[in-house]
Amino acid sequence: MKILFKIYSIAFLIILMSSTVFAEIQFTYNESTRISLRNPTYDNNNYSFFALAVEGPINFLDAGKMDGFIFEVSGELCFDKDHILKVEGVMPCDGLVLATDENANEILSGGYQKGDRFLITDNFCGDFFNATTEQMLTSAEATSYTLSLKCHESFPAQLELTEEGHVFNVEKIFAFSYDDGVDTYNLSKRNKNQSPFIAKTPLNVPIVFGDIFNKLGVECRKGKSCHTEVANFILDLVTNPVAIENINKGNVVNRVKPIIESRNTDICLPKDGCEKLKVSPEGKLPKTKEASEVDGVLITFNMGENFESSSVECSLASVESEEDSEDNGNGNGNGNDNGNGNGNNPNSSSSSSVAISCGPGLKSSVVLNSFGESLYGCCRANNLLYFYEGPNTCHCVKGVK
Amino acid sequence: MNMIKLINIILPAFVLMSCIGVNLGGDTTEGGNESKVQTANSPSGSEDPASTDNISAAYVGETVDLLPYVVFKVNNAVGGDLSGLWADIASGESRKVFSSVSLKLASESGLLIKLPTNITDNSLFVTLKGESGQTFNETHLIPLVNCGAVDSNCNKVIVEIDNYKYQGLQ
Repeated sequence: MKILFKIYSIAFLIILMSSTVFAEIQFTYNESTRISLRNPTYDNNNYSFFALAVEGPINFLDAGKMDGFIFEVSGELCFDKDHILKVEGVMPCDGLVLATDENANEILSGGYQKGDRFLITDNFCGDFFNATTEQMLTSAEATSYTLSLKCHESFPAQLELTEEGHVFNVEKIFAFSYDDGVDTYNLSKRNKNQSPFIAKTPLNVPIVFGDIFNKLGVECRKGKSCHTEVANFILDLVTNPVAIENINKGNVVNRVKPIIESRNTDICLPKDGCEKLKVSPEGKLPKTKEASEVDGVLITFNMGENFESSSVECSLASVESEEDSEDNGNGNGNGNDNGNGNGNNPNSSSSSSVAISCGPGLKSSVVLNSFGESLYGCCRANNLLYFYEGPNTCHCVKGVK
Repeated sequence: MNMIKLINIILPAFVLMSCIGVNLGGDTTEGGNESKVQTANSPSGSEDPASTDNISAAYVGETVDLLPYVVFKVNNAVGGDLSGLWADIASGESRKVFSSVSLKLASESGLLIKLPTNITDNSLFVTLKGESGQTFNETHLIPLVNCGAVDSNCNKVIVEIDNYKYQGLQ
């Protein structure tokens, strides 16, 4: 009997260990979703009240189990900055969470129990946008937060199973509530016989004023296959930049590029050396964003993406180079931000007639090193070259905050 | 003695449950029960949206979902073990990799992959990788034709693993 007991115990332990130790990421993709909300005081399909963008990699242990994600959450639209939207985080598993605000200050870092809510902002318009005199705030004034999750190895998040397969619904990691001064509306829960409060769209489709279905031209006439029709329509739309340009000509919040290169977010697989979801000995997730004050100006860096692990090549002006006409006019060295994320780094000097050739989606940028020499490198359009004196490396950073 | 009998009943039960993947933590998510097929964002059977005016009635879930996705599937024609073999999926002019998938997993079930925002057409660029270091580059067109009707191949990208690729990747 004792032998039988030992065999059972050992078998159980082996199975338990194999389910935890050998759990590896099997699947990943980059999320790039806009979550937009309608005004709950009306019953319509106008999802242009508030909007935020969620971008970054999601990792899965298998088709139905999520292991973690690294999201950048940025403002997309606040229709009227006097309106108050509260945003909380609600993670789908036990594990570790890291949330930081626009200045890379920690909102929450450490252990998390599934279902607990934590406050991201109690005033979305005030926190996710730089204050302007305008009532309506758009992505031109947007700031961004970061949100990372690593599920406990034994308890990954179980995904919803739809008719098409397992789906990770990114909007469910947030709880939205709107206060109009009289009532508080829970926007994460649909009211019976009303349209949902939330809509999800790709970032390369503009936010439209008015009925989202009419404005995007979504039609559905086949009853039970309606969802398939809508999904196919969207697929048709986003693979046709001309069609998106046509929507841009309508009543939209602001035009979007029909083809958007994602931010400097890369997929993150441990097998390829990515450690952005590796738990530190202190039991925390590594920061994905860091802030540094340079000449009294706060600059944010995306850690591990365009800062630490992936510094960009930069070279002295004497390196043979060719004209990059797109870059001219991008910088004048006065520290202004043009509102499109092309703010000028105080360390950046103006673009001269000398510029290296950059690949698709990249623009040449110039920065002075500690010896006053001009260094040239390539960054995405909304980033600028920054010279980090410590390791003597160049990095593409976002505009001055 | 009774205690030992009890242990002999409970322990095999634990072992069996572990083998068949029963989650002892009981952790299902967000109101989702994995075994239950949800029809969120699908039309209810009684509704017949006849025009764009009432299309919202088709959405019975909490969210209007207008996200584009493709189903990535691997057809394992050789029947061999695909462990350690991967597919990187890229898009756009820059051909930036936006997804990476274990071929073994994708051969077991189709995977829903959210499309990125740099796509210029319905082309996806798939790079098959294995431990050998050899790679196979393939361009796949997402089937969009006749997608208005019910079409089992719509939105699906299917990668065929034949003997030549299998041998090369191993």
